[in-house]
Order: sequence, then structure tokens, then C-alpha cells
Amino acid sequence: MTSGDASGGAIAAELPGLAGLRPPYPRRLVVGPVDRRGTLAPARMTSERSEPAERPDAILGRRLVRNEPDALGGVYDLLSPTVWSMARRAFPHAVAEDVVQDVFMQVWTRRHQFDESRGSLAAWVLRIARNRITDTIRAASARPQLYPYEVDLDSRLPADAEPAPWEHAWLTERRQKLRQAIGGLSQTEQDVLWLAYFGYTQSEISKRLDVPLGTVKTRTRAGLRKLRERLGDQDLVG
Amino acid sequence: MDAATLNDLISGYALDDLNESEARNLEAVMARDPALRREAEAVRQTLETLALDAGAQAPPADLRGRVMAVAEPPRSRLRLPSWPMLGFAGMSTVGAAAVAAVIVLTLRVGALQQTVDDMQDDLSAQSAALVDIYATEPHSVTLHGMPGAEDAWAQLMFDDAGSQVMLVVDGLHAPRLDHVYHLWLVDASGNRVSGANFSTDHAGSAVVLVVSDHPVHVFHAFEVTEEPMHQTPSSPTGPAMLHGTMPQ
Repeated sequence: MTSGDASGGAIAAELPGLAGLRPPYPRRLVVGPVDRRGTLAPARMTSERSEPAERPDAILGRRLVRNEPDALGGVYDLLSPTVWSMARRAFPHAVAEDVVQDVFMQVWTRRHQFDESRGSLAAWVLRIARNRITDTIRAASARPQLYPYEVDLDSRLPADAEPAPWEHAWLTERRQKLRQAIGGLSQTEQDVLWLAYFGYTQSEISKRLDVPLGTVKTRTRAGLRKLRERLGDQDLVG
Repeated sequence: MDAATLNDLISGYALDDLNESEARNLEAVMARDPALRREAEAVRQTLETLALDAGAQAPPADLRGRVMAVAEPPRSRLRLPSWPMLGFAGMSTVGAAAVAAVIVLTLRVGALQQTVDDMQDDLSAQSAALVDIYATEPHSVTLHGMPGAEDAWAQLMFDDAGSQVMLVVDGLHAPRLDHVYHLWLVDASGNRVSGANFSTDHAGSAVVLVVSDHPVHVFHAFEVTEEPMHQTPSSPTGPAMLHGTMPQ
């Protein structure tokens, strides 16, 4: 999270509670806890830190199941930057749009299946996203003439990426913790883990990276074990 | 089994990358050691956290509106008192069913944008009802033509909650002047609850979408009668033209 970039003026104009602030505004803003209606609280400067009393996705999950107005909008606001980034990691812009749209349509149509006793809303939504991405990759592999693209591993953020203008503090904190942990893995370990995450088999990873199968297995398992050790018992999305 | 081997197997488990023998061995160990199973699930969960590493880019600004337009249309337009009727005016059954099929298929393949853009606001709301109905395996009841309307046929479909209901009618001649058709819900005691008014077109077709405050599952049968227009009957005034019973 950075601060001190004057380009945030437009953001200040759009978000309540910032109109009176003098530039420079923060480049990215962190929004506060979700209120009882599931609405994201007014934006705050990133230097202000406070922990929400309850996970925002827990409140939104209950609202979604109760079919309350704008519940899906709250879920979209909270998780769409992550889902979009996942999709963009794998697909070109137009395909990623279809994927994200379909993910949130699934969230809506399957909302009655969500059970918070079995995991968080964030984990549930991100699993839907992962499955949707994996399915699309599978379809592309089976019919490459219809899907002329590949999972992009060359950059974490595509060149045309714009960071979300604001993000919930709860997610920002978890993303930072994860990145600290992943930073301890080699680039190859990160790459094989991402491919495994997107549903590639070890054999497919081996062919794709032109690395012996045994090496892929070793790196994938070692990478995952390292990540587990570095994260310890921190449950980031579960 | 030493710790290194076990760790290796657990990682393979989380990655769905164990061969049959490895999976069998690990399952046997986990059956004896619940803590190990919890650890395996924790490692699997660790892989799921990679989603956060993708970043937090801003999705296209118009994407939210497109999602919300289809997923969460303004329900107030549908939630009229009792049983409102939302017909596909001027559209044949085949045409309306084709539209419904297109909507559902489009949703399932994720190519919604063009379809939604082409839809009128009303159709967007109706498509949302269809999404609910088709979100899971739809439940359905077939209504058969009764004397005076032997060639008529209807299918009543509803979602798991029993609140989003679609009635497709075919072969039912247009109602008499100043009359409409009326859907009745019949409970176990034979009591009839008023449903929706509708008319059929020149081809005898109608597609009716309704939102019910009563779960449809609790009713045992469904009937359609012809009733005077501009009246809200408390019970049927004429014989049933269509009748169907809820499958047990």
C-alpha cells in the first residue's frame, strides 16, 4: 500500500469522506469494516488501521443467503478485484470478463448452497473462480483452435493492469502476508505452483516448462510445503 | 513411513497428484491419525490461498453493472401482491421457450453480455427468475387438458425454493370475451389458492412467470379455469380446463 500520490484526486471525489482532504491523496485507499448491512464503510487513509469486529465476508455471506438487496453487489465489491486478477493471470481481457461475469453469476445462482460452517464466503467464491478458470483452461486445451491463448506466467500483473482504486483492509493484509511467504519460494517453485493451482497435471507442467517430471514433482511439492511452513496456522481465506 | 515421505505425500494429496498406491497409503495413515488429516486439509487450503497472490486489479468499470443487471434485477417489479403475471406478450410458446432456452444456455456458457444488452428491462427481470428456476434441476408438473380443452397442455416449473414459477401453456384456445384464464393451487384438503391470471394468444400459447410468497411444494395439484375478467375470484366459477398433480 502506497501513499502520497496526487493521482488519487478522482478517487477522493468519488468516495465519501474524502472531499475535504487536501492533496496529495493516497494512490490506493483502504476501506474500513463492513457495517451490519454489509456496506463497505467510508474510505480511510491507509495510515489509519483498525480491525473489523467481524470478517466482512461473513456478514456478506449471511446477507447473500438471505437474498438481501445488494448482497451480491457487496460480494462483488469485496472480491471482484481478486477474481479479476486471477482471470487476467490466465486469460486475455475479453475472456477474463466472461469468466468473472460467470463466476459472480454462479455465486448468485448457487447462493443457497453456501454454508458458512464449511468455510468462509471468500474461500467459497475463490474456489468457484478457480474451478471456472480451470474448466476454461481445460476447454482451451481440448479445442485450441477456439481458444488461442495460454496461461500467462511471464508477469504477475499484465501490462494493462490498473490496481483497484480501493481495497478492503482485510484483504490487503492477507495478500501482504501471502506475498511475504511466497517471496521465500524460487520463481520456478512459484510457477509450478500456479500451474498446479490452475489444474495442470504434473505431466502437463513438465511438458509445458520442458522440465523432467520428477523435477516438477519435487519442486511443486517442495514449494507447497515451504509455503505451508511460512504461513503456519494463518488461515488467510478459509 | 518417515516424516519426509509423509510430508511429500501430503503435498501430493493437496495437489491431487498421488497415484493409487500413494493415496491408499496416505489414507490408511490419516485414518489412524486425525491430526494428519487436518494437516493435509491445511496444506490443501494453503494452495487455495494462491488466489490472493494474483493481485487486486480493478475490473472493467462496466462489468459490475452487467453482473448486477442479470443477477439481481429490481425485485420490486416482480414482487407484486399475491400472484402477479408476467407474460411474454405477443410471443408464441415456441418463441418464448426458445428465448428461455437461449437465456439459460447463455448463462451457462458465460457469454451473457450481448444477450443482456439486447434484452429489454422486463426480460432481464424474467431471465433472473429463469436463472433461479434452472440453477438446479428444475421441478415440474405437467397439466393435462380437460373436457372442453382436450388438446391443451401445460408445464409448470419451479425452483428449489418453490418461489420462482414458470407456466408454459400450449393448445389452449383464447378465453371468451371479457374472460381470462386463472391458475389455482390446490392443497391436500382440496382448498384452492388463487394464482395468476393470464391469456393465451391466437395459437393457444402462453408463458407466465410468477413469484409466489407460498412455496409451491406444499400444494398437491394445479388447475386452470376460465374466469370473468377484472374480478378476483375466491374459488373457481367454472370447470377446470387444465389439471395436474404434484409428483410424489
